[in-house]
Amino acid sequence: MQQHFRTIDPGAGKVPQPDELLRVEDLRTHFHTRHGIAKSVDGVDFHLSKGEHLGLIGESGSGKSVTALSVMRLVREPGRIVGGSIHFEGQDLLGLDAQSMRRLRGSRISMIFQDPLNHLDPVMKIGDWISETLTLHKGVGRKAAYVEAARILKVLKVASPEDVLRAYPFQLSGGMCQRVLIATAIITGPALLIADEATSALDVTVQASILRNLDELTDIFGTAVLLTTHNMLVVRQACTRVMVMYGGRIVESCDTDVLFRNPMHPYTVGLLDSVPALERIGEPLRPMAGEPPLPTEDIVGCKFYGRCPIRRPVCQEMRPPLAEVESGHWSACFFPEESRSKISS
Amino acid sequence: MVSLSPNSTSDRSPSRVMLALSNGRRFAKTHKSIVVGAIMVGFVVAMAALAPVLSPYSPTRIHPLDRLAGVGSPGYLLGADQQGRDILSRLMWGARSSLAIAVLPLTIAGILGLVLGSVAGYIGKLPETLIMRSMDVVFGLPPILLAIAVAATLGPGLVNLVISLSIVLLPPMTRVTFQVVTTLKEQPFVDAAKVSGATTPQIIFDQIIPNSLAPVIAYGASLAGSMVVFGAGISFIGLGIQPPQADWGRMINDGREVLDLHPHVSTLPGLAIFILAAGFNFLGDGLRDLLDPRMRM
Amino acid sequence: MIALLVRRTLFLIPVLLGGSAIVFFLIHSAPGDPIDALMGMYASPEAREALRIKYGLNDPLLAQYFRWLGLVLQGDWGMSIQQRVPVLPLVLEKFWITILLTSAASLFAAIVGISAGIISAVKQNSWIDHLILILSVFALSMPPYWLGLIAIFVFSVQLGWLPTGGLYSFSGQMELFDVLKHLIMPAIVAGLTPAAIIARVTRAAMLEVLKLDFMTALRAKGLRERTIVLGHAFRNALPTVVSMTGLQIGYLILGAALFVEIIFSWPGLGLEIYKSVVGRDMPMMLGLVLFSTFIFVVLNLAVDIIYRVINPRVREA
Repeated sequence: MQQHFRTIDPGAGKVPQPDELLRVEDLRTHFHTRHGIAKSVDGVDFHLSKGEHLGLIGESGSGKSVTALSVMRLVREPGRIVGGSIHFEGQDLLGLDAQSMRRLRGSRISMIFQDPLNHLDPVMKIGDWISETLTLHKGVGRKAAYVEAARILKVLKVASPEDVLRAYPFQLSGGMCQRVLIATAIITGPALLIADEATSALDVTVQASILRNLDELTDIFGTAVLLTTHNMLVVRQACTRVMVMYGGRIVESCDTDVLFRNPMHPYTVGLLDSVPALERIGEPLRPMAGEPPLPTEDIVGCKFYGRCPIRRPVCQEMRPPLAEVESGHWSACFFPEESRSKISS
Repeated sequence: MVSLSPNSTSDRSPSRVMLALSNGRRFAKTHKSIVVGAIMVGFVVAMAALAPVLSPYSPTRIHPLDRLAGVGSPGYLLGADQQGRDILSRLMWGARSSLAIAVLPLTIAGILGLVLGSVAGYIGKLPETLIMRSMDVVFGLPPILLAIAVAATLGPGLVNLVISLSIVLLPPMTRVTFQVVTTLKEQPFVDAAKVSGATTPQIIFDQIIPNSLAPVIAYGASLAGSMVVFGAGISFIGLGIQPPQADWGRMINDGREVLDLHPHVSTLPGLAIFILAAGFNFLGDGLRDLLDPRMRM
Repeated sequence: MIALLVRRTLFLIPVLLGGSAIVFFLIHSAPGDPIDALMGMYASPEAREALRIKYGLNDPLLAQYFRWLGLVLQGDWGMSIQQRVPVLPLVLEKFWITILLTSAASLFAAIVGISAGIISAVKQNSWIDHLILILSVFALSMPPYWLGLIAIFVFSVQLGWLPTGGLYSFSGQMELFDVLKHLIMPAIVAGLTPAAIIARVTRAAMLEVLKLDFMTALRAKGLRERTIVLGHAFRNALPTVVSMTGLQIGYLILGAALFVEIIFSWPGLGLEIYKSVVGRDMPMMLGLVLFSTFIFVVLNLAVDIIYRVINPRVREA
């Protein structure tokens, strides 16, 4: 009964681009819980070019972190990838055996996390933590790995890297722990770095400097970044292109500056209106009304319907497909042009 | 349209029964260990309670002609010991002392520990130092040897065994209460009681003790199985219930000399201890999950 | 760190003083008048009184305690009534025989318990986890004195593979292989209950660690599952496991081993305690209790120190 619109890969069309690094098609990751099946990722398509910085923005529960973990194939039970495909450097990640997937992790695809302190081994010295990765993937000896780790930390503007390498995580600040995670992730020179809410738990000042560090380092190694966040300003600082996620689906996708100038989905408009911005000094902040639907709810039409200020009956009956409204600008709304004008005029 | 016809109520009542049944079934499914443990312990309790009615003979009746009768001999379902006493009857009567050894010391030490731990935990300062440091000293002693030394000094017998086991159990019960109470006293409802003018003893007995009951009972229940093994062990070395009264630990030791030819004499009482201890252990595990999820193992 | 060690060591003093006071109190209230033991029932009241004064039995209890404590500290632990030898040398001799049994039992318990606990935690809620949990309840509920009898009946009486008990055969000298043959059954029987407790503690500690965030970070590094479980998760659970294992070894030396020594006639401290209980040999029994208390307290201190050394969060704080 359920109508299913195949979403179209935003920004890429059907032909694979020559510099394509990652292509995700119709990804579905579901959690089988006691209260039903939670479709945390419910048909997501995107691609990522070599060296590109792509943002994935959404509220908590929108499925952005699960998307990130799905690419790593690290979704924890009871979550499972139930459909779609993930192609990375030409190989189908979902078809790989566990052993080959494991070899990619930390060497070709790395990941950093929110709450860095809790993502370090509490009883392992920082130096051992960083060199463990290098030894595993590059066969570098402990001593050489320590030297390399210190070098990377220096690039990250750590004042006394040797002291940090000798410390335990609980002796370091949150920002320092995140630098350590970044160093660990980047030291093997991966093609893709997934940063999952990597700065959300940090002070704003630390956040900005970490993002700058990340930028510099990924430029040096030519590493692409997939950055998930709920913070519009982080996307603006760190990403060239951005996707907006809602209810397990991508609802809008375009270049970052276009998104801020000309949003084409009522949810994006709502997001922008609820963040303070320089351009709109003097205008009141408009928090979005309502709550996102439960991930276990079975919704046929648009998942934003319940909160949408421009909804029409058709939105409840059919799922609006992600379609290219302008060149390089994709929106999953039947009435993309109305989003901007009607809401915030 | 609301229908109040008898038909509709009779429709509803079986569904209520079904609901209760399915609730019971769900309880049995999620708390398997409680059900298994309750059945095992219940079996032993029934044996102990019904011993005067069910036991074929007096546990102390000596019948030399039937000495060392095997399992299944006519008139002796589980055989007889070296003196011709019926093992089944002795097991049934012996269940009484084993249950007493498991439950009484835990109850006594539990109540005392609850009071001492609450006072130390809630008041702090001098009472805490006095109570907790002296508990530390007793806790620092090896428990089995302490029980043996106390039982040996007091002399054999069920009452003295219960006293010595209570002494051994007091420090851990006090300590657990103390830990629970120190977190409990930070709770808002304690402040609320204070603000409304309750005195310290009132708060301890009306707020602190009732609220620390569940975790303390859960902890105590988890010890019951070990107490069965432990208490029977002290009887085993001759410091518990005295012959000719029936006691499982004692029966094992008495049967050792005929182990090679008549293993049932010493192994059957051991099996009884095992069943009761396993029952308590399953029950304790389940209760701990139910009453105090924080201590889950 | 050092200050803490000093404080913990100083805390030994009140525990040992308290422990010895309890022991002394027990001697004092033990049934029977020591004068009877020395002079017999028929001595005149005057002679009794003279002896009482001579031994200070009329002094205040506290004075008696400190005098007794002085003797104990000088190594005078009294005479065994049954064996007519000084208590302390006998205790020290038996101590090493018990250490042999408990070391073997501890080794067995630690290896079996820790492996079972790790497997159980990694395979949480699988059939093997349930099996290990049920077996651990069984092992906890089995009285060691009963299990020992069954083992003797099966392996010695029926199969004739292993000796029924003792430290070595009468015929041969104390050969290594012979002692090992005598050791294996009591060690396993004594180690089974501690193994079950260690398994449960290890499982719980591992589950605590396995649900932490850094497990995902470890997988994201591309580490092998074995490295993650043994090199990281178990390393984090280790302080808890060590302190529990240490505690179990303490109980083992003084608890389970007692019964096992009786059943297997293993000539260590436990058998000695049993003999002193049966023979109402109070000086011997209290000497044994005092000595065991000392060992127990020192062992607990050692475990506490090891816990701090292997836990950087405590060590470096």
